[in-house]
Amino acid sequence: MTSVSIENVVKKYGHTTVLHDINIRIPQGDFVVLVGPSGCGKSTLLRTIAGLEPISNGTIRIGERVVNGLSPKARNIAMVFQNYALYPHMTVAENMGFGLRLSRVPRPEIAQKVASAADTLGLSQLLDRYPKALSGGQRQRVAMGRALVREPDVFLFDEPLSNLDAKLRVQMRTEIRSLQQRLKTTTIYVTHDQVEAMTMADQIVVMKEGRVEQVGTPLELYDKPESLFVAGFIGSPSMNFLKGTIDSQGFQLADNQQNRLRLLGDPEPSLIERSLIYGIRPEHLVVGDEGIPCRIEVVEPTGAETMLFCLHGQQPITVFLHERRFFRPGDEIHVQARPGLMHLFDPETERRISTKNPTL
Amino acid sequence: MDETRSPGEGGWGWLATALTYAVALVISLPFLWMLKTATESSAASTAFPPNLLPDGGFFETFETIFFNSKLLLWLWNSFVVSAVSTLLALALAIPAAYALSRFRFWGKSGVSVAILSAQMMPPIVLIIPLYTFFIRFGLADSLWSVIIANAAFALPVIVWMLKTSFDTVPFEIDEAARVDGASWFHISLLIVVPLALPGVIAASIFAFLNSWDEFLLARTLLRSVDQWVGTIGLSSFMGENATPWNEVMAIALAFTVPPVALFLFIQKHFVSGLGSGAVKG
Amino acid sequence: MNRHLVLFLGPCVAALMAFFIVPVWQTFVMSVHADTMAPNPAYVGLANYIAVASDRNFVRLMTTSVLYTAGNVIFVWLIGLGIALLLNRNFVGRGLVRAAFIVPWATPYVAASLIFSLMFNYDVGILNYLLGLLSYGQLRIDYLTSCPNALISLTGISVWKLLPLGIVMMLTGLQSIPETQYEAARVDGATGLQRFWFVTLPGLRSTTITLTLLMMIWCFGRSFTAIYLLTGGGPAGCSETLVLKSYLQMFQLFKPATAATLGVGVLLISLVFAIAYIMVLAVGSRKNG
Ligand SMILES: Nc1ncnc2c1ncn2[C@@H]1O[C@H](COP(=O)(O)OP(=O)(O)O)[C@@H](O)[C@H]1O
Ligand SMILES: [Mg+2]
Repeated sequence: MTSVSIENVVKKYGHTTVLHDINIRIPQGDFVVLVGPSGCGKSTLLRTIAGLEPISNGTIRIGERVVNGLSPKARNIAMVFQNYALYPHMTVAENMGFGLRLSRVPRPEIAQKVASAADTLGLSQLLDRYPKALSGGQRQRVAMGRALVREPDVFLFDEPLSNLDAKLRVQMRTEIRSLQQRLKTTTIYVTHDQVEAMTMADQIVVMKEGRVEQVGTPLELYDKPESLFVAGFIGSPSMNFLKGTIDSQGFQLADNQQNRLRLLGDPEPSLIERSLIYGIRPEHLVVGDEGIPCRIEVVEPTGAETMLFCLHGQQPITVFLHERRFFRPGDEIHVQARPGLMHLFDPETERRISTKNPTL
Repeated sequence: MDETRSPGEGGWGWLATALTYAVALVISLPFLWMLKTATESSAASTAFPPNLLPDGGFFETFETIFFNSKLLLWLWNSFVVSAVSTLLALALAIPAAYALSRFRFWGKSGVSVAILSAQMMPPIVLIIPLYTFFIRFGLADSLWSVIIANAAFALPVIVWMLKTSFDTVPFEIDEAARVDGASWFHISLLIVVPLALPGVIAASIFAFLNSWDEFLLARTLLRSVDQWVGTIGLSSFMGENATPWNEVMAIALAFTVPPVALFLFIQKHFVSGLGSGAVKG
Repeated sequence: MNRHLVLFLGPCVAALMAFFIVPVWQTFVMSVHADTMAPNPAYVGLANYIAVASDRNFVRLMTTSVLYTAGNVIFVWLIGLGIALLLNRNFVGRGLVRAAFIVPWATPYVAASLIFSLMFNYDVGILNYLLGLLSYGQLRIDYLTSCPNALISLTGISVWKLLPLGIVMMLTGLQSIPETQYEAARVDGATGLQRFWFVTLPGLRSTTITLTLLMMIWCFGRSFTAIYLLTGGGPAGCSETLVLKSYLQMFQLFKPATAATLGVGVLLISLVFAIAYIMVLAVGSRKNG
């Protein structure tokens, strides 16, 4: 159990800067997920922590130790790769024991550790197989087993589930999480899938274009996204963004003077008449007699829930109802916000506008 | 591969097949003729018109060449030279190819260009000064001179062949090994070489055959009959009219069988390895 | 990583220096010094080059080298393509036939020279025997001891040796042409010959360039063993190549500077081939975006 701290880390490839001044503190035993769109630098950051890439500037600490110049071996970490990177010419047992073999651990001890990790992961029957004779899910487990056997200070995962089918992915998600809770090993987990991030993480680090956008627990990110990017990225279906202004009666779309979205309480004077982006999650909209008129384009009934894709003029609005309702494409409806659940953003800076009145 | 790609074949496939066999026969003729002459009696080997099939002087001929000539010694010398120079070349080339495949460093493209140009070097340019060099170091007329020179000559090609085949091993496997605590030395020998084995075999065969076939340098360096390698021994029969053709061809056959067998044995590896190494360069 | 770099790459680079760069330099140095085996020959500038170029046999020497190389390039390309087209189909016994086409490659050059000297034999050779059958005993050819014949025969041996390389490269080239291009051409109504002309040949462009270059470098820079063994450059020097002459000057006539000068010539011409090749490659890649 060790903390990890990343201080002012910069990574450049030639003249392109891939990581800009990254600062993250990971308390010991935490499960931290790095999430962001493809190409934002998640893998690069993970690999600098692993010691697979040197950093151009800054400090990385594992525990109290500065590990900047240390080899991956000396950092006492274990890593699970996206394509598993199993050694094709070694059996499952040899794959899992390779690290120990290199550190000259006695054979009986290796066998015992491999057996116990295999037991944990349900691999005991497969120890003599070669990777090519395993299914995708089994390979994934072997990759985890290889990490587990070494009893590292930190686990690093780089999109370990993205090559699995949807059902297996959900199952492995829970399994990895419960394993980590049992072992209490500090874990850094990279994914581009925000659902994975939300369901697994103690802390989520949202990254964009080589910068940290926001760090927080899943619910903090859901409830208080600090930027348009985080607001759009976290939550499924994505948040609706509407351009407009606020007056004493509510939020008013830029192109529609009559209809408003309700606010809870009086707005702060500084917000009145200011051009804003109003964000509201689809699950926080209701269908009623008042609010913004729009036309249903597509209805997606999923049994218990109903998803509506609507258009107000050119403005798409998604509505997610936690009940079964009957609509047809072409129906004209009004959508209204449930009060107190909206988010306001500055259209210039794309940052969250914090309001003193929490119920607004 | 299952598709017929030759244009305009129509119903003439059988004709193309027949033509293929005919061309194959013509191409094989020299080899078959060697085989035939090697297995007939010395009288038959100079008969005119020639017999088209051997008359069975086989055992006598082979007894002569294996027990009454220096053939076995020359074959052994060739084997020693080829095997040792191959090992030597691999020892230098594997780490170098690994570095070229895996490390990022300043001057990498320069080294690559130098290695590619060395492949194109005409041997004669090198042999004139190397001859003087080996004389000066007292290595002339020693198998070591040929071993060292052959290893060096094979180096540019096999470094490139190895690099190309190392490139096919995913980098993430190296990284997994690094996280597992493997040193660069371990990674290259325990992970990358086994995984790129077809390429390594192809490169070894290339180096081995190059040495086996080498004539120019051996001719200049190896003087005494006991130091001769097969190529020099064989060439001593050229224009010498005392040895009957059947014996000469039997000796040539004995010298040709090892590389041909090696070649056919690993044809697939070699062809694809050579295709990627020597050709893409 | 730097320490590893030195450890991994160092020995190989050192060997390349010692056995390639240094010898090339020494050959060059020899070529600008006096033509003697005695130690410390005097510096003579370009005198050896002038002597070699103004030799009365110089034009013949160059012509022979060029004809030998060109013959190899053309015939390996043509026959290699033909055989590759034949092999790139499914037929019974393909494995065996492929093996037969590979054998010349593995046959040591010295053994091949001996085999051909038997087959080319004026009196008892199989070739003259077959020729006699075809011409009712009228025709016999002097394969190695008369003038254009010697060069033609030696070119033939080299083509035989290099053919497998040509076939393998052409097969790879043919197999890299996507089947869909043939299908598209067929849909456009192209006949078999048109498909060959408009799909196959353009698809073999880069293979052709690579093959041509390799042939040039190998035939030109390595035109030695069979020539040395079978004709020694004769008769009357009409099969003498630059490489052979350089060797003979050094090891039979003991004229190291002339040998070195010829060697530098071989190197420079090879270099021209290599540069041409790199330029063609660069232009090709620019065209293709
Ligand atoms: N070796 C490299 N050289 C140059 N650029 C690289 C290299 N590796 C990654 N990059 C760049 O760094 C950025 C981040 O890559 P990566 O960390 O793999 O993204 P992610 O894992 O978030 O998808 C990308 O724009 C990528 O092109
Ligand atoms: Mg990634």
